[in-house]
Amino acid sequence: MKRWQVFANGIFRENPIFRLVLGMCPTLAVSTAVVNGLGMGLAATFVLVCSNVIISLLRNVIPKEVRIPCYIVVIATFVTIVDKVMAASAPGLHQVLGIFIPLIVVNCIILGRAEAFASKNTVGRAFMDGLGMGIGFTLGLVLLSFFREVLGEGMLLVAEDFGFTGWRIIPEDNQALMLILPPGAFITLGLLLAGINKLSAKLSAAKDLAGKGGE
Amino acid sequence: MSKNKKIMEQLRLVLVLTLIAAFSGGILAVVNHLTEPRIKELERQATNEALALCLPGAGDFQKEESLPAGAGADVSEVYLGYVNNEPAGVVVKVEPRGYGGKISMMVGVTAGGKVAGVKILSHSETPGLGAKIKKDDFLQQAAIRESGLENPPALVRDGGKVEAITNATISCRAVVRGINQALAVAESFFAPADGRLGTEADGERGDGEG
Repeated sequence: MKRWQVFANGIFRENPIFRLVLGMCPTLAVSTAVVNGLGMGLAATFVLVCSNVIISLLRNVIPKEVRIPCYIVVIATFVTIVDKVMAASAPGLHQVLGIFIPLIVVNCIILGRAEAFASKNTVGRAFMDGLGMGIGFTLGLVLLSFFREVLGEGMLLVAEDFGFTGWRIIPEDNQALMLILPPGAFITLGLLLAGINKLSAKLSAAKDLAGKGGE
Repeated sequence: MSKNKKIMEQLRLVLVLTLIAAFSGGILAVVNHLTEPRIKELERQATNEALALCLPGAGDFQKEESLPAGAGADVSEVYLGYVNNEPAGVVVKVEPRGYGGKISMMVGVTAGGKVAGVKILSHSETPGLGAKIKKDDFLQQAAIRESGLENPPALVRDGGKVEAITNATISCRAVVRGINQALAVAESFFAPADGRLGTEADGERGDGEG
């Protein structure tokens, strides 16, 4: 695989949210507003890229018997950095994301990529994989929170922390409140998964057809 | 020979993990050193902003070391606000239980026993329902804004004048309970018997300088 393919892989073919269905806890919990999803996604991307690079660099140094504790230490270090820097620069967002920032440590995507990819690949490829997976995760979160925010809250892009009051899309008191509540997270995610499965099935069918036509 | 090799291998495991942990500790110490003052500063700033909003006009706030005797169960912090070194009112941090958890709020009460400002700091009420307690429609209504010791706020449903948010009675009742507990704290500071009563009430009694 070429590097850009490694990168694109995380966004489409192995999208963490819609394809691998990993890291669901933060996904379901923070996707109530686009800005929260974006913040969480970018924080996870930073950790993913950094931990992938460091673990790839140390892949010949870390003995396989203690690799998991080593990975966790590396990941936890970057998560703590994100936590501190976010608290110092965007306290409102930090308060909203709350417990889910420290919990990036146990996000399956990050340990999963460390184990499945970074520990077996060169630094450049590990970097591209981290970036692709991180952006894929962020896009998934933004898509999910877009539907939940617009339909559930009736608003788009509310980010009081950054002085954004957002736009009202649906008149007040007419929004589907349930989508903002926890059950709405499951319902929205389920519908999106179904939609994306359908779409990719169609796409691959079309590809097969085109492939045959070309022969 | 092979036993020696095994021990060396074990030592390597310990050494690598220890080195990684030590290195990580060092980096985190630096990050902490760089961000800690800023985080503390932001927290202080947020508190000061909330205090100023709840008791407009007061320039200097002093946190009370201990809560006054008989303070409500939800009262967590009390600040005295000063104007020209004279106590002008209190700001009380109360955390009444709402529907989804504690509602952390600040209530300012003037020395005259009037509610000067209410700010919701954090809450975990239902989005779209109880979460509306933060909105001006609710918090800035006359029945709350103009309430005080003389006319403590109460929901319409409880015989008062405060209009509750539809389908969020529990959240609204919690906010009103918080305000009433703050008023009780203010009373213990500025009650007539205490001799620290504000000028407004002095004038009413008519035994002042006139």
